[in-house]
Amino acid sequence: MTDRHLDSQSPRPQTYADLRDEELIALVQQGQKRAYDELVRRFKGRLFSFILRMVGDPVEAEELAQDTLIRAYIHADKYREIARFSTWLFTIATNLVRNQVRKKKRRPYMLSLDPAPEDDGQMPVDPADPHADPTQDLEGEELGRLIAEATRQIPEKYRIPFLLREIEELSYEEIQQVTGLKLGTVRSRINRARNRFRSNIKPLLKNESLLEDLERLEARMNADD
Amino acid sequence: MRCDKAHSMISLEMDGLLPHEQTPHLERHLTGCDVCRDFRADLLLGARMLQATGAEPSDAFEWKLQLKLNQALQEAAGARVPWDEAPGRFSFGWVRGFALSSVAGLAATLALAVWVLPQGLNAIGGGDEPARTELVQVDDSAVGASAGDADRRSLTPTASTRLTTLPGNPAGASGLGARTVNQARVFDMDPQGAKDIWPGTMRSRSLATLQGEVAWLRDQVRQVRSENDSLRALLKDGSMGYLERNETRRE
Repeated sequence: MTDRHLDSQSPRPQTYADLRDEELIALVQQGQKRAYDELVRRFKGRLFSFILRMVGDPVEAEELAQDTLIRAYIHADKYREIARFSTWLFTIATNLVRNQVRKKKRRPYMLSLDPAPEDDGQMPVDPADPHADPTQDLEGEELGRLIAEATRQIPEKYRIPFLLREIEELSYEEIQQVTGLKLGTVRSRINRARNRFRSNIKPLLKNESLLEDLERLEARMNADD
Repeated sequence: MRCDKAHSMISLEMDGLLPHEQTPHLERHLTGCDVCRDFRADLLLGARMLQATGAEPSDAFEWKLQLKLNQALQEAAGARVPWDEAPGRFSFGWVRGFALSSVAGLAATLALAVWVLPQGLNAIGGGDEPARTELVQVDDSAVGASAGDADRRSLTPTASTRLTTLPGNPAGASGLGARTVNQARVFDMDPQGAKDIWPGTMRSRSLATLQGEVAWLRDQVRQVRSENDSLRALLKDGSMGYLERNETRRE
């Protein structure tokens, strides 16, 4: 990383995509909103995916992901580069998820009487992407649903470190920072979660069509990268 | 090596945390154990499935985020300073504020009682005789020289006037009963006449009269409290315990 992006003569970097997360948040601390937009672009999917696997509801997951990013912006000045930015961000997300899960356990299920946003006529309708291939979505849908279900069956206290490790590839030390658990506890919980996950997905592992879906999804991911 | 130990080592190996010296032991075990070999293969396949089936948020995610962020920033910027902490304002402790508002309320109640209550009581009060509110002509000599003399002289008729009720309405009756301030000769008064004289009435009332009315109000408050106690006793038998708790909190 050269200094050309950060020298005083060109205060705005030529491309934010080239910067590390930590450099971007440093620019956010200096008031550069575009740097924050880049961080949102990088982390919205990861946050959403992680939170969705914790709470199970896409609408709720989106809201919590947005709340996480908003808190990161508002409290950007509190970030110090003693930990990776992703560790800090997922600490916020994990705390929000835990609070949400705790709230749900305390209150009984309630049915909202408010109309769904799409029904009140005030929210703009999101137009469908004309270039999207609907068959692509169907390919991974069944596999995604089964994996999501298998993940949700893992107890929450094991699921958090498991997902942080498997999906976000955080180190054990980082997971320790995010969750506040001891290192040994992180290790044992990840181990137990893997055992449980493996038991849950055992029936899927010999399903040829699902394995083909997996290969197609991986090929698509590699093509996007 | 037992399989559960091997499973733990496989988990560490997947994360690149298995110590080098333990790797040969694990490999030796896996060579002879189909169950653990399948276990490792399943974990690796499961990790691939997890990675490949990550979800994406909706297309509306970013603009909704922007809306919420703008709102959060506006709320943070527009957070109001509590009025009693605003610069240049007199800072009331809540106790003083409460005391002041209580005094203001009491003064308003007294003023209302002096202005309205006599007529209202006559309309509501029981007894055999209907309540009447009438103007009373009082001898100047009875009232005596006082600060209100000049005002009284400006009124028509020349004698000072006072509002009262007929003795037929019993004082101290339960509820809002009529009361007697004093007894004097009574003249019927038409509404227009009352209106002409009314502005001067307050100025002509003596301190003793007002004190009498305050005493009457205190009696009424005592009566209401006594009724509340009776009601509370009744409610204790019932299921309206929340009223009791509110009363306890107030005390």
